[in-house]
Amino acid sequence: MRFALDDEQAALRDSARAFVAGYAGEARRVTEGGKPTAELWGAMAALGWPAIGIPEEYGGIGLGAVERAVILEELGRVLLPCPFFASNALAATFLLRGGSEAQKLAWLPRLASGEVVGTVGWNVATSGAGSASTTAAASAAGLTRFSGVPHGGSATLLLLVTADGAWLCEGGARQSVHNTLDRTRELASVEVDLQSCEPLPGGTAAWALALAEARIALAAESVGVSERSLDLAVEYAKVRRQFGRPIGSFQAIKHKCADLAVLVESARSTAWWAAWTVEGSPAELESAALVASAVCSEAAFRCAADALQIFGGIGFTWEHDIHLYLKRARANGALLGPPHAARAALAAELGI
Amino acid sequence: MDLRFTAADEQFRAEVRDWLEIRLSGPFRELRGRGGPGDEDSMWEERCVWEREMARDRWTCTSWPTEYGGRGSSLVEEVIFHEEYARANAPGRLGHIGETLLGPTLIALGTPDQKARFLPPIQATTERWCQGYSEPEAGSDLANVQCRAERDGNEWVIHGQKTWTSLAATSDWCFALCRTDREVPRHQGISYLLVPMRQPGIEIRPIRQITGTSEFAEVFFDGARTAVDHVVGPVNGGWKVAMATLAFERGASTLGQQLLFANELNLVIEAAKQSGAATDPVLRQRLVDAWIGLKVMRLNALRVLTGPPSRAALVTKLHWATWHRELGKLAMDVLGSAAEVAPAGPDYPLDPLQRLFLWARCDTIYAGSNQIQREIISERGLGLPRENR
Repeated sequence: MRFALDDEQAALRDSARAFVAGYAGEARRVTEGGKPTAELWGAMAALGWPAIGIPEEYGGIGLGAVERAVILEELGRVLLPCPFFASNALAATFLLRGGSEAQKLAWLPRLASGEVVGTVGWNVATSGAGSASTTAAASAAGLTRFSGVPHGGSATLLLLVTADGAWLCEGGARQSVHNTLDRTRELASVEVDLQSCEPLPGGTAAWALALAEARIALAAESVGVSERSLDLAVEYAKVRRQFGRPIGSFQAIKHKCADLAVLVESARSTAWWAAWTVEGSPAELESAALVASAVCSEAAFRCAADALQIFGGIGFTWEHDIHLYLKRARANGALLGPPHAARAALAAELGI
Repeated sequence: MDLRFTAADEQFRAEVRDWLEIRLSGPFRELRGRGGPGDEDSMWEERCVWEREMARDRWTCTSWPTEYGGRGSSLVEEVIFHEEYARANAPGRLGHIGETLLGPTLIALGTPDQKARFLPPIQATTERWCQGYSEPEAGSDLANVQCRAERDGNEWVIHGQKTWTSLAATSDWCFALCRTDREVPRHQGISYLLVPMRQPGIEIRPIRQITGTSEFAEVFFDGARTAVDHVVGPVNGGWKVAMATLAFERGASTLGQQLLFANELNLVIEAAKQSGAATDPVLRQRLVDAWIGLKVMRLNALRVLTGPPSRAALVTKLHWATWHRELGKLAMDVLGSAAEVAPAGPDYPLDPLQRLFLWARCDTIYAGSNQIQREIISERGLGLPRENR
C-alpha cells in the first residue's frame, strides 16, 4: 500500500507548478476585464494536458484521474482561467462514458489535441438563473436554455444533458457569457435546439458517472484553492506586525491557521483517494465523489474566508487577490452540487 | 498510488484473524468488548491471563526487533494487527504503556542492562508500567515538573506527586519525570527515572472522573526509592528522552482505534434510526458528517503511514479527538429525551452512548490538548512564530 503520488505524478506536479507560475497574473488580469492570454491553451496542449485521461486509441496520452487531479490542484492554486476543467474533466470524460464509437473517434482526438474546446451543459434553466423572460423566450423559440455552463461562451463542442437524455451539439447554439461573481471561470448561457443535435447514447446514466469524475476533478482544484489561501494567510501573518509583534504569534491567528491546516490535509487525502477510485476502485466512485465534493468545497471556502479575515482590512480590497480565492471557493461549492446535497445523497446510500 | 493492501498483507491479516478467532473463544469469549476507554477497570484478572496467551504466541510487542522478543513487524503489519484486534472486539490492553512507550524508549536510549532487565517482562506481560508525567502544576506545561529526586548513596529518593496516571494501581513500575537539578533552566534539570511502584513510599489515590469511574489516579512519592542506574539517558537529560517517547508512537494503532470508532458510530446510527432522529434532516447531515469524518481520519492515517513525511502527521490527534467528542454529543442528540435516563442500578450506571458522551470530553484534553495541538501544528507545520512565553 502506498498512499502518495508516485514519482511521475510528483514530477508532473512540479512541472505543472513551474508552468503555471509563468501565468501567475492571469487570474487578476482577467478579473480586471483583460482578455485571456491567447497562447495559454496552446501551450497546455503542447504539454499534453488536454489529452490526460483520454486513451491513446482516441488520440490521448492515457494516464488518468490522479494525473488530472494533480494538474487541477496546480491550476486551482493560481485560479488559472483556462478551459482545462470544462474540456477535459467535463467534456472528455462525458464523451468517453456516453458517446458512440463514432462520436468518440470524431471528437476525442480533437479534444486531446486542444484543437477543440468542449464543455457540458446540465443546468436546464427554468427560472431564476438569468432572467425569466430570457428563458421563456428561448422556450418559445423551441430552444432549451442551459445556464452556468463552464466555458460555454468559447466552447465549440457542447455536450448537453437533461432529465430526458443527452446530446452532442457542434455549433448552431446561442452562447452568451454571464457576468459572474468569480470572473476567473467563464460561465455562459447556451441556448440550443436539442432536436438538431446528435443523441449521446450513454444518456443520463453515463452523465451520472461523468459527473462523479467531474466532482472529483473539481475537488482537486479546491484543494489547490484551499492550500494557497492558507499559504497566503500564513505568509502575511508572519510579516504583518501589530502590538509590537507579528500577528501570527497571537494564538487567535495561529490557532485559526492550525484549523485550516487540518482542513487542507483532510481535503488532500480525500481528493487523492477519490481520484484513485476512478481506476483503482470504480465501485466506490460515486460515493467517493460525494465525499470529496463535500469535504473539499467546504475546506476551500473556510480557508479562503478565514484567510480574508486574517488579512484584515486589505483582505476586503478589490486590489488584493484573496477575494478571488473566496469567490472561486464559493463557486466550487455550488457548481456541481452543494455539500448538503452531497451529504443527503450519501445518507441515502449509507442507508441512514 | 495504491490504496489496496498486498496479497502478502492479506495473508498476514488472515493469520491474525484466525488466531484471534480461535483464541478469543471459550473462557475468553466474555472478554470481547471489555476493558476499553471508560471500562478500563473491568475483568482485570481475566485480561491478565489473556495477555499471557498473547505473549506466549508472540503477539505482544510485535513491532520490537526480534532480538528484544518482538517480530520486527513492518508498519503495515502492525496496522493490520491492530485492525483485526479491534475488529474482533478483543479486550482493552493492559500492557500498552510498556509495549508502546517505555519499551521503544529503552530500545533506542536504554543501557544494555536496562534492556535486559526490563524488556523481557514487558514482552511476557509479567510486568506492567504506568507513565508518571503530569502533575498538578505540570499539565500542558510539562517542563514545570516539581517532583524531585535526590541522590542518597546508590539510590534516588523521590518526593512529589504525579497525577492523571492511568493504571497506577495495577502497575509494577513507573517511568517518572523528576527534577534532579533546581539550579538550571527548567528543561535542563529533569531526569527520566524508572521507579518500582510497590513500595512503602508510594501511595496511590484514584481520581473519580465525570463518568463516575476511576481510570486515573494521583501517585504520591514520599521517600520512594529506586536504584541509581534506573535513569534512562543522562542525569538531567530526561527532557529529550521524554520527547523521544512521544515520537516513538508510530501511529500504527490509529487504524485499530478507527475500527472502534466505527463500531460506536454504528451504535449512534442505529439509535438514530430507532428514535426516528434519522429522519430529521439536520441530524441526518450530522450523522453523515460523522461518517465522512471517520473516512477522512482513515485516509489521513493511511497517507501518514505509507507516504512521505508531511504535515498530515501533525493533525491526527486534533482531528480524532474533536471528531470523537462531537460524536458523543451527536449520540445524546439522537437519543432525544431518552438521553437523560440512565440504566437501573447502584453507583452511577451509564449506557454505552452516555459513557461515550462523558468520556469523550477528555479526548480533547489528554495526550496534548486541542490548544497544544494547534500550537504544534501552527509552529511546526506552518512555521508561525512562538508566542512570548
